[in-house]
Amino acid sequence: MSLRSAGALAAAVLVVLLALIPVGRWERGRHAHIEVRGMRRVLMEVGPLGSPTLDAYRVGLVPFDCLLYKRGANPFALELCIDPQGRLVEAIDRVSGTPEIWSLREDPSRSTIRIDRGEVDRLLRSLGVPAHVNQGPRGQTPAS
Amino acid sequence: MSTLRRLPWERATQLMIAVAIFGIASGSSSIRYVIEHTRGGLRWGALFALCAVAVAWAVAERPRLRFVPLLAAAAFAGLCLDSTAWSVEPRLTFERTVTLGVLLVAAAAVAHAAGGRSAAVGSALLGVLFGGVAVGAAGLATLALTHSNAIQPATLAYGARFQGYSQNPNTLGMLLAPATAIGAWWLVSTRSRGARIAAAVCLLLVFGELVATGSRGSLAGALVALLVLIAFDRRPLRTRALAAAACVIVVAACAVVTTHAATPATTAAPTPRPPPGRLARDAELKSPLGSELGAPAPGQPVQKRGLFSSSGRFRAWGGAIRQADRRPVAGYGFGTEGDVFADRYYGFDSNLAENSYIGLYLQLGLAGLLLFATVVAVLLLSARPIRAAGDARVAALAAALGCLVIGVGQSFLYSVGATGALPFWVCAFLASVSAPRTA
Repeated sequence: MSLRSAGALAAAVLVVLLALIPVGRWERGRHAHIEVRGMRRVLMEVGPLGSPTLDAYRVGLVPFDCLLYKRGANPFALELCIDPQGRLVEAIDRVSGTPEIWSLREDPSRSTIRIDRGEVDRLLRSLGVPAHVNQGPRGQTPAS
Repeated sequence: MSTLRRLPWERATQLMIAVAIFGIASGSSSIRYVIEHTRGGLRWGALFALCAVAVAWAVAERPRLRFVPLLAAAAFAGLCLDSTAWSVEPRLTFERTVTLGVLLVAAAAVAHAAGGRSAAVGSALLGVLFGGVAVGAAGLATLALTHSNAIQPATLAYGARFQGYSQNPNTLGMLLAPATAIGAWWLVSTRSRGARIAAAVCLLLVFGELVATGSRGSLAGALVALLVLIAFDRRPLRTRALAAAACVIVVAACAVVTTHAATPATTAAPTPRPPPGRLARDAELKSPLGSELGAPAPGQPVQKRGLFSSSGRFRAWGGAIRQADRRPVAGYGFGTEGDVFADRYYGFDSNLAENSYIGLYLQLGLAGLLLFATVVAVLLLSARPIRAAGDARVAALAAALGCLVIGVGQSFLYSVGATGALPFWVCAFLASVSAPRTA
């Protein structure tokens, strides 16, 4: 291959790579929009966070905690996962039997749904989560 | 350039390939002390040193640049860098791109420096083998000194497996499989009696440990590599057919024996029980989020690992593909597979999709898959090994193809911190060098 052909090919590759930047950013925004829409739907299905159907929790799932709500015989039918900043990062709907998962756990900063983190902590305590849980830095594996 | 003048660079590069492989293995060793003391130092230091030595060797040789492979590799690295613009972890993406870039430069420099000299290609390949042997020997030392570190304990689904000095049995296997192919090539191509004995010892060590890992994907990769070696051999067709049949039988027998010899545990490892009444509403104790999908119904027996069972991979791959489909063109950003892939699958225990191609789709979308396929095609399709005694490019081609097979069951081809990435790229570039001539 001549130097001129190689240069032309390199220029074409560069153009394609530059064109991919807006495509990648658009995909990121569209993905976040779809996930937020799904999470909002589950949030509406749950109703008030402190609803009497609140039945279980998950903690220590670095870096987020979850509240689970029962529907019928299923104690884990709806699930909301909130990070330490109060962003809803994952919502799961198991009402139909097959879990429908909406998640931005890999990119929590894109979540636009904010939940009162103080209320989440209060609800966790009311479900029996010991007071010392979730103290200290989050998002790090504890040293053994 | 005289043989005497080029020899120090050639030997230095061979040594640095072995040191870099050992350094990378140390960065994720089964021994925590080693990780803590080498993670940022030996691993990346050795990689950068390898790159410097290889570039120096290439500069000294003044080879003719081969634009197409270089451009293809640069385009792939460019896409990785590009993805910092849309990555979920831009800093991580940038760091992973830098390490991949250094590895690609090193591999390209080694291939350019070795040029068409079969002896130089063979020398670099032996660097890969010696790296595997060093990690294998460290594994035996680990077994002798700290047995529990060298053995991955049995679970209800899996038998105990040998991991030696490595992070886990699969990371050891992805290194030893290409090393096995190179060891076999060295054994049949060398003329010296001493070298033949050394080759036999190396081959016995790397293949023996490969079998002990019980890594079925790595064994399959080694088998494919050995079959490629046999296919390009000069011996009569009948002899090659017999050798191929012998390889298939030996590898299959080893896989069956290790699968059946490693019996799963009959009782689960003890887990801490919460005090009565407390944590009663912890859903994680009853239905863990990390193994929700595909979990057997209460009362159903645990599925044990068999020779052809997928270890939960098929479900995990399906989930990873569905995740990737949400950002199909450009993906979530290079190097973010561990952050993006969510393991929700029963029987599957990894933060990666454990398939290099699906992992790449997740990270860089169809654009990444396409570019990776282009790089590999450019490198391997330009390989035209001849059936000459000792053509080292055959071994490089065999080892690279073996790695591509292992990539179906492991996410590692683009992850420099994985022990199999350096052997893959070095072998792939070496396979593409021009026709051999004597040194």
